[in-house]
Amino acid sequence: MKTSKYIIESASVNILLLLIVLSLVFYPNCGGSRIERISEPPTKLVPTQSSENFPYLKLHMQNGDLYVLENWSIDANASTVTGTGKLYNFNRDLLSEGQFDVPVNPIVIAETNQIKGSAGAGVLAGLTVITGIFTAICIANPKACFGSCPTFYVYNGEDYIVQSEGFSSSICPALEEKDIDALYRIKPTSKDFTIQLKNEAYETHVIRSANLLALQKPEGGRVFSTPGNEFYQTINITEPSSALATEGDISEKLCMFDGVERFSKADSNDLAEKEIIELSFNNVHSDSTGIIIAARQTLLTTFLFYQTLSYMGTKTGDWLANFERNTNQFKPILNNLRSTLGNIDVLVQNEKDEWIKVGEVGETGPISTDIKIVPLLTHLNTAEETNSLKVRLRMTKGLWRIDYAALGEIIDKLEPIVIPPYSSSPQFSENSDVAGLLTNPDSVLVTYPGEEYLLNYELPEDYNNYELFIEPEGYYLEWMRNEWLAEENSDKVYEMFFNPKQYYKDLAPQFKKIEAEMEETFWSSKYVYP
Amino acid sequence: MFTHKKIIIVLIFILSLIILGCATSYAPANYLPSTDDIPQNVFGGWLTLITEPDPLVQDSKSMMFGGEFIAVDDSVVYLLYDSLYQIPRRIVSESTLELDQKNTTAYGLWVIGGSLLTVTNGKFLVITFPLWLVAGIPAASGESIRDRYETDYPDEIYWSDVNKFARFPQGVEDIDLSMIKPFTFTNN
Repeated sequence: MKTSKYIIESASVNILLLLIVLSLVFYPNCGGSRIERISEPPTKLVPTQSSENFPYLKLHMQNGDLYVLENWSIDANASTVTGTGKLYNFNRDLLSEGQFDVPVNPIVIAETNQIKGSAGAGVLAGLTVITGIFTAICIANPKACFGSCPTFYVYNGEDYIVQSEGFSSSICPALEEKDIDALYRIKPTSKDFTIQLKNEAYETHVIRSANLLALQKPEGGRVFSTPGNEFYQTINITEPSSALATEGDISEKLCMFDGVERFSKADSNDLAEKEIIELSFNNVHSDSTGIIIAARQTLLTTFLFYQTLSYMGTKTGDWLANFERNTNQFKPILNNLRSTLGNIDVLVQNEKDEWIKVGEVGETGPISTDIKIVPLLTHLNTAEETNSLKVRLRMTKGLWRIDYAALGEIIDKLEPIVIPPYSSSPQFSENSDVAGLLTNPDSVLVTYPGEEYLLNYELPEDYNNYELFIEPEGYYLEWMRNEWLAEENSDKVYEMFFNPKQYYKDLAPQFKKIEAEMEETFWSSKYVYP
Repeated sequence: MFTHKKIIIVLIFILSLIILGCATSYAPANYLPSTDDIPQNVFGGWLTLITEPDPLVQDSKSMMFGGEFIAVDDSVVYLLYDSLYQIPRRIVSESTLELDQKNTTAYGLWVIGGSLLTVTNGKFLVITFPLWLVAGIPAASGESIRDRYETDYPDEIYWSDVNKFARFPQGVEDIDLSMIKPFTFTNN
């Protein structure tokens, strides 16, 4: 499969080279010339010709002298050429200049030149315009440009598909963390398992580890991780009988993990405004269940992150350094900022039919859809007559794309088998011994835009019986863009930290202006496309 | 400072193709006028000739001559450099006439800059980058051979075509060639 990909890439390069060679062969022959010289005997000069058509007229005389005339004209009898200019001898020394009336008879050759536009410049100008149009799309909307964190691609039998974006909220060293993402849609074909690690945005990625986690699947069931990084064997996974959102029943969108997502638009006045989806499940017989949710973020957080960097402007480095020095003071402030926007809260009814929060799920990042389970356990309050269960999902409007929701019966809690990469093959990079860097806790792998690695893992012999997760650890540094520096405003940064509710309200109109086209701009601005 | 290896490779690749596709100019620096100054220019184009050994001259060798294209008649090409050279047409095996300065370097830089700019095109890079290579590189290299009259064993048609770019397209019959000043290099 890798071979076929390389064959396709190699074929593309060959076709490109062939086109270049062909165009090099044929273009010059079609390029023509810019200089058109008309050299005629004076008898061909006619009164209708003048400097309006050809600004300069050269008159070659029999003895080698040469008149170069501007503002020239020919009299009605075609016997005299009149104009202002210069007279040179055969050595091209200047003899005189000024107004000349030159009889036609002694002229041997009259010469004019026409300079045409440059075809090459025209081609390049056209290419520049085309390139500029595509560039303008990104420049016009720089806060929608691609940001990815380390992306992990896994082969699904046809192609490498993105399965994880690592530690998206770890934007500086102090926020370094582990992040667990399920490789839910991947079915290994052998115990030799390869993951493609990419840096696809203008970011520096610092990756301490990228282990694979393997957990034994139950008969007829799956293994899910919780937001707290616990793992549960789960069986009897059932989709909701109904899923109600403000727009109506959305159960068709949530019934399968298939890329068909439910999402809404952000509120026009408050980016932190909440909405509720109510899920109903029938025939719930177990009292040890969990709600399974597959979701990713919309581009709202990407916008907020880049807008914040814009407000920090030239002082972004100062802010981040300050954060590094005073991590303990800043973390509660940052948590307040995050919690105002919030995750997907899971609520069930208690004995008094009051909705209480039993957990939350949600991972930063708009690229990879992650699937998690939130155990309901003893909080479950089913209707005794029908064994039905209602669960509410409370979330910020326009922040989440939910692909799948289901209820599962939890049967056991597991500890994962940790599998570090045993080797790697750099595709476009300069690092060597990447596996060594990723397995030594005292070293890190640093990647830059465009770098790619293939990480190789060895799965257990009965690999088909295992659920796989990727567990990257590290942080990343976003590269500042010139376009972000124009809005530097420290007051806004303080407002974000200390009055996030107002901050989200203030930014609502700005986000609503670009919300509609942001998704397309984001994906089209990706630095390296898979 | 971070430098992207791929960018360097792409730059080398594009530069190589442009250089491979470009024609060498034989004219001294500052001799050829810019294209827009051609209508006022009072000198001939720069002619480079390679000759075969003249069978009528003992110990004659293959030679390369370069100079201002003064004139051509039925049997002789007149070239002016440190003196006036009168070269029999029958021994000319290669002839190259250049008329103006080319913008090859500017176009090459334009192609490199444009190609690099495509990194800001996101997924459209897969269209715009090859477009720059396929159209931009030939445009840059094509500039170097524009208005360049080059041929092997030039015939009557060739000399007839290029005669108008000589200093004296009317011929040299009535000109005292002994008085003609040799070519001098200037920095202007």
